[in-house]
Amino acid sequence: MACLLAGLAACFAVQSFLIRRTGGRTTKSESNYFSSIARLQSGIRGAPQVMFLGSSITGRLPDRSRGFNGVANLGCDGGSAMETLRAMDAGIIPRAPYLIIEGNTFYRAVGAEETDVAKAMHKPWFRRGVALPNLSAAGRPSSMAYTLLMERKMGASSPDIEPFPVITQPTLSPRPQPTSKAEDALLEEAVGILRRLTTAGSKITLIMFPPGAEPSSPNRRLPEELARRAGLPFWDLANAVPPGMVRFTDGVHMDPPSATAAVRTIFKATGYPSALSPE
Amino acid sequence: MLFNSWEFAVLLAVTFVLYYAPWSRGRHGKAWQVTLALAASVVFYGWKDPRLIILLAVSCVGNSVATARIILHKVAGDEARVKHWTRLAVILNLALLAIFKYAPFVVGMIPFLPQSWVQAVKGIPLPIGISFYTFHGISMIVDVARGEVTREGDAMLSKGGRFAKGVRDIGFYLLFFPQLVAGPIVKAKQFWPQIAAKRFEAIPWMFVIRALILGYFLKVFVADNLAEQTRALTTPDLVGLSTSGPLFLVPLLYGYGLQIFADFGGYSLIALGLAALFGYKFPENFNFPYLSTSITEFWRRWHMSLSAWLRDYLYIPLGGNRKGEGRTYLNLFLVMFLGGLWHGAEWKFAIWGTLHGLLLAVERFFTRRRGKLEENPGRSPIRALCGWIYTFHAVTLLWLTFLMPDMAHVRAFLKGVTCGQYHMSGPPVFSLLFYGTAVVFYHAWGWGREHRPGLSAKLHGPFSEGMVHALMLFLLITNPGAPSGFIYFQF
Repeated sequence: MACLLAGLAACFAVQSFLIRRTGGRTTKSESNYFSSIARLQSGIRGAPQVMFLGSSITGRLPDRSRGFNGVANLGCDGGSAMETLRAMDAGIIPRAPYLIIEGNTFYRAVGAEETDVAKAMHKPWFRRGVALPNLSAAGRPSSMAYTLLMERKMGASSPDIEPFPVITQPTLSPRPQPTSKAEDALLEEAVGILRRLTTAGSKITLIMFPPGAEPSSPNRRLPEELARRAGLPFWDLANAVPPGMVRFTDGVHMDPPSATAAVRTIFKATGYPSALSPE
Repeated sequence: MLFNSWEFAVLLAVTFVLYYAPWSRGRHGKAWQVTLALAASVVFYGWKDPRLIILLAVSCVGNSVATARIILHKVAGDEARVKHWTRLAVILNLALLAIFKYAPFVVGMIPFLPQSWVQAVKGIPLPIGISFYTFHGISMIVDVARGEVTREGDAMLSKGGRFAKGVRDIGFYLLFFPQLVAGPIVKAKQFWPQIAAKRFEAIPWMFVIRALILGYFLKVFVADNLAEQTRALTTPDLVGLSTSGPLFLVPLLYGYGLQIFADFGGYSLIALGLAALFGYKFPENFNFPYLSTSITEFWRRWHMSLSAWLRDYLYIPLGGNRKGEGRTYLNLFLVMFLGGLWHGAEWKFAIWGTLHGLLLAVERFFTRRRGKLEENPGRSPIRALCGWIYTFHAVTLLWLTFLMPDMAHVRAFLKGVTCGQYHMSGPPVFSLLFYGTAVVFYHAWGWGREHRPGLSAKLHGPFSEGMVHALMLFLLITNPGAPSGFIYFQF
């Protein structure tokens, strides 16, 4: 029994050391579910100034664990920004003064049931993981091992990377987009949430990240219509960056240098606080 | 209620404390403990759907009445009536199974039945664990009829005015929560003699701790984490499945092979540990099944309590291998076919059982030809290795029919493996290696214990054991999978 307790203490000591080394967040786990939970648990810790909300596309963006002070990444793999927006609106997770919402996958929330990640945010163990990093999804040995393998394969992000040269800026979207009944219902709900968050003091921008989407596809139509109805700035970053500058790991997700450049480009274009520049 | 839920932890803690409370040491200690464990089992079973308790109560009272009658006739030496009651009770047990488990399957195959009838029958819910408690009931009846249940049990039931206690004890045997919904299938002759007052000092703590840590580790760390990946195999998107490619699909299938062992093996260890906590000894259900060098050996190591039940109550009564070669093959086929169907009322389970039966028959045929029926076919290292490779891959491939929702999925999988694109996906391979390694190490330890006992004993000290259990405990605390039910709970 003494050996068991000593061994357990040793395991937790090694884990605590590794959590400190990874900055409290793992980039990606072998599990979409735990990747998302890890980002949420470490993202809402402290008082972040900027929050990125979206899917796994957002999930690859660097945050404070990668040198961007005050930035939290709340990307939910396989999901959309709606999950975190709803949680924020319900007060389950805190809101930040600056919110950047990924538009690429917003369409996934149309008529969709509550996801496992959204359900998890209501569970007591989710809160425990926020309070105790050792019990968080970012403290999972499998997540640490997977992140290590990913970074070896694709390289780790570096905060020194320069922003992309861009040809457009965030702007209010004037053109109404055609929508279906189900899309209207989602838009109505989202507009309500965004207005409440804006009233509470959050500054919000909707962004289409590279690789972007066809103009007529729901991936592109819906976020643009959401921005128009909510009166928020919208920016198609995918079309603002000169072709060939953004690199992807699998055709959808940006590689670490491109993801870092994208974050710096957004901060430069939106004029978000200078405190958010790399540490 | 699941073994890996908070409700269960609370129920277990309360039951445990009350079970060994000071008054359990008195004259009515046994009555208190059995009644309490029975009540806890009822709460455990009916937690999600209390209506399920009604059927369980019917089974319990029915089996008690039949058992009492059989004992009375046995004491009176009336063998004809013993046989009559035994037959009746077995038929009634099977009827319960037929109505609740197989009726929807059978009506689906009968042409020209009014659709409203078919829908009504298909609407009958499948009570959790019905296959297990029905088998317990049959075991109770047959063991009593054969005179294999101890004299104390006979006496208790046969004395006037003790029927209520008999019902209580039979209910306890059928319902005892560690084995209620997914086994191990404990035979009456194994369980009945153990019903007695239990002492706190007699708890085998080391065994309990080892079994619970390893059991929960296999379930929570290995099986639940692998489940997140293997779920991709049962996707409704058949087109996606058929184009996924071998590098994606094959690791998932092997992952499922390891997952189902970890899930069911883990559950069985938890059941053994929990039973020991309450002073009961259950039979082992798994003995390193993936070390098997033949399918015959696999069934001696996998779900051993089901194999033993099928052997004692089906294969041997059918004549076993005593009625000639042809009949032996037929019996093997029948037992495996029915064993497959026992898992679920679907053709895929029947096919799975039949294919295993076929391989068993082929192995028997060849070993008979070699005249080495009683010898282990894998004695030389090379032959053992070849046997192991054949067995492991055959068993894994056959899991396909077990896992997939229908045969269309099996076809889509096979198409995907042979015609799909050759692209590798990281998570399935990583999961197979990261979580599957635990199952590999577990079997390597088992191999060492069987083949290198000296070396194994040397490595097996308090320090190494403490460290290994600490690592397992750490991983199940910090790296659990998303909670999911046990695979065998559906049977």
